[in-house]
Amino acid sequence: MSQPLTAGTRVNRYDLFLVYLRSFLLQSAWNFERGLNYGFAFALAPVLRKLYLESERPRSFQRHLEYFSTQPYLGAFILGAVVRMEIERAQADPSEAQRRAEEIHALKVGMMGPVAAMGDSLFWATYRPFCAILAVGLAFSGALPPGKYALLAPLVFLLVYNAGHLGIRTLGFQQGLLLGDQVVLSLRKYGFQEATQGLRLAASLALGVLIVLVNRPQDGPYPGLFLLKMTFFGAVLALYTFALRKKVGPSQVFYGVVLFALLLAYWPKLYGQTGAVGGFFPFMSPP
Amino acid sequence: MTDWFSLSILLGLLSLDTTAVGQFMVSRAIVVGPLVGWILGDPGLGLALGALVELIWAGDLPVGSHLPLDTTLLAGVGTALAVGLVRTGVGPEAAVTYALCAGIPLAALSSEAENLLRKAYVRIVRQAQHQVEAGHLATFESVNVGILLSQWAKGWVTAALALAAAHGALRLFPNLPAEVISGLSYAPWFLMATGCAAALDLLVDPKHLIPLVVSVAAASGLVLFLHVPVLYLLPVSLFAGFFFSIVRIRRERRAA
Repeated sequence: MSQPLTAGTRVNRYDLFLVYLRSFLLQSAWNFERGLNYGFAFALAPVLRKLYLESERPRSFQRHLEYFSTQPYLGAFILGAVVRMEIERAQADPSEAQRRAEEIHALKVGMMGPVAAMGDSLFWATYRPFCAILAVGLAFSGALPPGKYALLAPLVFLLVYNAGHLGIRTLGFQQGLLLGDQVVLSLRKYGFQEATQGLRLAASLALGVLIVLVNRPQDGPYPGLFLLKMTFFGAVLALYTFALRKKVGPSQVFYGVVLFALLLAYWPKLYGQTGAVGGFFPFMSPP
Repeated sequence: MTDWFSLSILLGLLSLDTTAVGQFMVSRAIVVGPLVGWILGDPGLGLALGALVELIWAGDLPVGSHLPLDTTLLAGVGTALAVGLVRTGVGPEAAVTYALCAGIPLAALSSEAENLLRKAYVRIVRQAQHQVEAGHLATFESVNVGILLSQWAKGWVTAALALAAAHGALRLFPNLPAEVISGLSYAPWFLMATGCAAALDLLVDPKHLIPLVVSVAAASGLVLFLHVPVLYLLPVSLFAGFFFSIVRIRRERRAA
């Protein structure tokens, strides 16, 4: 199964590179009717053009315009596997063409759901917020001097995130090309579900540190004030977590919080006490 | 005004990253806020606003056909408005809260525009399929150029309209009562709690609740009693997180 791909085919490394580049446009025409179908066919086009005669090409494109939806990064595993299977189909005996086309369809249909669930959980629900906590934690650590150094936080976010993103995309496409319809074994081998759990543990610990960073006294060790702030912060955090679990949207929670802050301002003892919250952002330039 | 024009073009380009091109996350609020802030001369303010947006809307995920709030526009337009307010002498905390309050409805309208565009793509993709059936494969592929241009145009137009609306919101601010401005300046601390709650809701399973509490207690102790520099806390927590994860994964694999 893992023989060199280019042997006996007209598809070369440049075509494969073009497919890889086009995989970054997988979601360009995301639509409610057929999901990523256009993006998938568009990504495959350089290979399909090479593999099939002009009379066969429209049908080869049409086969990939059925409904298809998955997570775009891990979708590279499916894309790579489909490229390999299309090459094998083009090389196979014409009597097998229909069966192989059905196998390609079955692979796409069979893998898109599990890959979407795995990718959504790993990237959207874990890795991205994990990177965001790192960047926000860096900002609130006081390590960034005011001014243009604030750009270091997003830079860290982009570097850490894209190291994982581009690594997985490239690995997925290579593994798909190498393993074809056996690519599902590769998905198991790399243990994405275990990685998700590991990242969640690391993110939980980092979130704990962020909570301390947000509430630490800026101008000296005041354990009493710190504990008071932490207790209140914990109560507020628990309340909002409860609201979010009750399916209240983040925008509604936002306006609720602002309304609460406005009501506080009308409490006579608090009005004008902006010193209590002034300098909340340690990375801001002084006025 | 030149700033506003070039900003809307930039926000249109960045919005392509949300779904259509690459998803390198340059369209995330934590990036867009500081970038727009840097262009307007105050990256710190952009980071403040971007960090809040990033955390509060962390759980608003593009799963299935759900379209999340357009946080690219919220961070970009919000930062522009906040910078404008700070230039007039408003405190950064109040400026950030006010900019977000004004920006959310605009971001929701932008998400609606995206929704309409996706409905239009159903028809465009059907037409592209007809091109395939007719054997016009080059036309089929060139449809993508039109789609990307329409995405960028949508991002540009919505950003330009939102920036114009934000300009109006800037003029309204001096009319606010002093109590309201005072209240707006209290909000970021509560909003950060909301952001942490959103991250907690998304990331922390019941089995990770104890590690979270231990992390808070350990970090508090290290800062308050051992006076460990706070810069070291994040790397230590990450090291501990990955170390315990590897130990657990090994144990589970051995058991299996």
